[in-house]
Amino acid sequence: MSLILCRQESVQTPYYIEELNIHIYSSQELCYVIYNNPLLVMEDFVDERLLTFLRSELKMPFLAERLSKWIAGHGLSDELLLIILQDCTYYNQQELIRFKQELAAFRKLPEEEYKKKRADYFYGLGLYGRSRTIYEKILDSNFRNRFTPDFKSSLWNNIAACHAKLFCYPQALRAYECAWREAGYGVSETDVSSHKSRSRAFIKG
Amino acid sequence: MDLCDNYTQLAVLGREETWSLPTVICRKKSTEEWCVGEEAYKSTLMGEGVIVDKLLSLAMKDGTSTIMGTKYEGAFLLEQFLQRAVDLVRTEYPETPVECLVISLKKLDRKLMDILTGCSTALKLPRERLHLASQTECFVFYVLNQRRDVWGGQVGMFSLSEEDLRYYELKVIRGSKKLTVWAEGEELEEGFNLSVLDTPSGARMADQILCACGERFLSKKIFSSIFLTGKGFTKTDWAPDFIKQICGGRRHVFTESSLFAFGAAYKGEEYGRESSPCPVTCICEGKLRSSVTMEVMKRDVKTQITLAAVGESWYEAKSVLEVIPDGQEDLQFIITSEQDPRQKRLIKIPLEGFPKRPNKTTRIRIAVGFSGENTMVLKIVDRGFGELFPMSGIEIRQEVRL
Repeated sequence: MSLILCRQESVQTPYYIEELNIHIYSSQELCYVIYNNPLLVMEDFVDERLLTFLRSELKMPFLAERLSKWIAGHGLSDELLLIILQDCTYYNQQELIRFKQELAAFRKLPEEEYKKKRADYFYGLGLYGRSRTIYEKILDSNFRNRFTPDFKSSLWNNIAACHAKLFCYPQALRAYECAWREAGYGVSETDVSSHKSRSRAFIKG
Repeated sequence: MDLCDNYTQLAVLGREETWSLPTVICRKKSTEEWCVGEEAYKSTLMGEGVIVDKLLSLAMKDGTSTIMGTKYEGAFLLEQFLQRAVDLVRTEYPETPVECLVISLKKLDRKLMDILTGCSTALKLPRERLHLASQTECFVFYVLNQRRDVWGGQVGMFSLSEEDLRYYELKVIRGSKKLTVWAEGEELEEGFNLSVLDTPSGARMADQILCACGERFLSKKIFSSIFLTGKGFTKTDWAPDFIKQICGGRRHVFTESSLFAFGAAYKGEEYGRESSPCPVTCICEGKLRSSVTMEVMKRDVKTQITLAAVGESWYEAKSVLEVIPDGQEDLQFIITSEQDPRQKRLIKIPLEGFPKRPNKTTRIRIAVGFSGENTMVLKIVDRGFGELFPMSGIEIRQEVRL
């Protein structure tokens, strides 16, 4: 039990995170977003716009400089996120270890599964278009031959769910048919209409 | 500036002469023109204007004065007086802006202090350059700006004015890094009207009264020096026995009729300094006698943050900070008394009514102020957590007796 002393951060222009549709006004909020949205921040989150925000608005020029140097020397990596969390001291050591383990666990996943997890995450945020694009890219990838029928079926199911959420019902029907076919079921008109009536556009994780 | 109900004195650092004027204001009958001090008396005697006196008392009791059919509030009259009093100095130093104005008051009354700070605009001074201090504190600053042997031991002072007879005392405790000064002053029941000094028998009686006071305060203690101030001590030949008494025991004895005004000027100099080579903690009227701290995590290290320190003027002691509770459902303030630093008092304020949110997603603004030497006023506000968890606007206001 403790109280975290907040820095004086008079942010004039907040940092907008489009995927979450929120503006960030403090280093603590930034850390909270990073910690609770690893699948969002693991790809291209630390960019020049974020560095400018750290430097000019949060008045953390040393952190921005450290991140810049890291990117110049090592390129983009998960270490950048840990540098931010460590520097802001909003999370304690135990929490940082937990976050690091979570990132490592995601990175250990086969590429298609990691990408599917990101797509599922975006679906959860209501970004159906983006998530559908990722599912489709996975299906079109070079390593699609190694996918199990169940995995393919779940991808098609999720594409169908995205279409359904976007009110594109014909495309959703076709995707559900593919999902059923991959799962080894025969598809009849009755099956599809009954599925449509029951469907609440759930995705398979 | 030493501001009293009867008189006002102004001093400028580095200048021996002072300005002294009665605290009165006069409005011309024909036009809304104001004059102060002796000029006000003159104008009234000539039948040109209407005079108002006891300006501090009038302002403090929300009083008004009607002059030529116009009702003026006491606070307004006091502001007009101050403006003209400060202009006396400004006309002699037209090229030099007032760096800082310290007003010395006999009693630190909250209402009067609010009125005076509200006068900063009329005085053409930014609020942060206008300060208030008790006469006791100005006495401390005056004494500490004298040679070291003057305040090596205890220092006593008698102040005899038309208003009262007062006794002040200070003691300096030298620490390795700073000086701590304890000072106090009290009004004596034996006070007398200065007009008694006009007759030989009255003067003899006054001398006897002072001797009795001297006996009471100065015996059994070792004093380095004794100061005499106030209009009553402009001349001391009426009190030969008292002077003989206080000059005994190898004490330094000084008379300075504008001691509080000079003390205020020295205090003003202190405000202008970036840092003092030997900081002074002054504990007297108007100063906090307890410190208020909080335990917080700063860059992952547990540390105590001071919200108000011993020796700070309660009127100016204000601090604001923001914290985020990590598993904590209350705020804890540690009160430490200067008299017994080992004895700490813990004040817990539960965050009642604050919205339930995930851990570490409630930013709390804590504003600390004081409504008196012994009363801390806390304002605790829910600031939410940005757009992730918007603020609720809930706030807790609590007074804590120190």
